[in-house]
Amino acid sequence: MIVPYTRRKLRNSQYPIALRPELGIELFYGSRSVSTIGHIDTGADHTLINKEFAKQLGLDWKSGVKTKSIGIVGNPVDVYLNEIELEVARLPGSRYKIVAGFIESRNVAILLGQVGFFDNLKITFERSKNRFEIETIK
Amino acid sequence: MRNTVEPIDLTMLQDYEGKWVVLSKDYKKVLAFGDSIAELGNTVSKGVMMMVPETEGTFIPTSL
Repeated sequence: MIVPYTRRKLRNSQYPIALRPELGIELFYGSRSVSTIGHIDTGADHTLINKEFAKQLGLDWKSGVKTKSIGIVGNPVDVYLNEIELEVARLPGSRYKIVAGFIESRNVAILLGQVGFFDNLKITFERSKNRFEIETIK
Repeated sequence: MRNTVEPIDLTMLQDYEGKWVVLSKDYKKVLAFGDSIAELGNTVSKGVMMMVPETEGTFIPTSL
């Protein structure tokens, strides 16, 4: 499936428009689910999800295994690893069980990282064409 | 034949910086917004829930 980069408007004169590798996904936990948009981040070691999604899914996010993550500023933050399921919207056969890190953050909604996303799917970026391709792994 | 999805234009979300929003399933309309998901009510089940980060700068997860 080919996915064009999303367009976002910024209050930044150097970069008034940002093109981002984002796509529609659905998160599942038990009988509950939530549709959202995830930001693909090749540099993220694992998939990170804002704790607010856990509330919507009825998941006690702090019941997971506690660990730490570090952004480029270097401040470690608590992350709680929990098993949920993730599916890429409009991509049949892409529903997987994943272990995602749930965090409290004002800046991160969902980062689709190496563990929990890249390990389950094949993603080929073509930034020069403002698009990427995502496929299930047979 | 490879399937190509429609481009998603989220430029209208600049007006909702720092908020939680629910978009319509086609990503073209904001159905609800608030400072927390509690304020979104049951519209979450009807659309696409997301957080709108600040738009002053380019996005790099500098402070998780």
